[in-house]
Amino acid sequence: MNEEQLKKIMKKSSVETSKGFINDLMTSIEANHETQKTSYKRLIWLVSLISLVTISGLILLFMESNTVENTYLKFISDIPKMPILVIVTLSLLFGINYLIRLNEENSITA
Amino acid sequence: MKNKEEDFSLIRKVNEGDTSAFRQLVYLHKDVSLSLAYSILKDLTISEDVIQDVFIKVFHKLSTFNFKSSFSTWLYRIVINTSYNELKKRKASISLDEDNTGNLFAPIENKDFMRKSDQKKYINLALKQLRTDEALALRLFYLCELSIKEIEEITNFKKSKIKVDLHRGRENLNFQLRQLLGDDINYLL
Repeated sequence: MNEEQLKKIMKKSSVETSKGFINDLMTSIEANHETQKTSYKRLIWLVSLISLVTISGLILLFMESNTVENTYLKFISDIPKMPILVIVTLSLLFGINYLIRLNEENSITA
Repeated sequence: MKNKEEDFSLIRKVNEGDTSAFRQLVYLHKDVSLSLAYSILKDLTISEDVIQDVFIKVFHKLSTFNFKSSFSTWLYRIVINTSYNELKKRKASISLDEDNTGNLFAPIENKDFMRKSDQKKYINLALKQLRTDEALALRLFYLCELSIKEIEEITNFKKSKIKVDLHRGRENLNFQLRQLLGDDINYLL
């Protein structure tokens, strides 16, 4: 068998997908995309809620640590408050921003 | 190789949000992708499931495609890697009896004429008897018309291994076809 004959035979070996392959695929992609979209939205809400609770908690904790004298919270009054608050707030904001960007990129490819 | 520019234009459209362009992209590449997956998995149903997963993956990763290499090279690499992973997952190779290739050993009744679908069945049955890497190398070289360098890039196999696989693949395919068809092999040529 020469090269040309082999090429001819191999060209005949191509298998074909089932008839509804593309439609099934597109349905799966759409379903997949919808699930992803919902999970992104849920994640953004969840992270925002956690951020809000964390920031509020931190503010409350710092305020409490100034007034309560004889508790285990006393050591907190020794920690510099503002830098920690700024770092935590910025990290959370960056996190939310990252999620929003992911969500936007996801909606562009849809 | 498929038209590189056509692929690029379709990818740009998909990235701009045109889902129907992806449908077209799939249409252009689905059969060759299935043939490659079939070389490795040797089962049509499993291969089709694998390439469906591949195309879903590709759809989500298309925005990261860098337009430096051709889309087909990128796609075939994903198809081959996913198929090998699926094969590893299944551990044991799939038995020939499990496949739905039909009654392949039925005698050829009309000696003067062999239907196209029968030709395909016999060729695929012969290819199934080959080692996975040999069948894959033959399909990439003759069906996808890729160069050895491109095959090297896609499979991460060494150049020497690809050459050996091609050489052995040619010989073994010839042997298997002669075993199956005898002199009727001429109907394929």
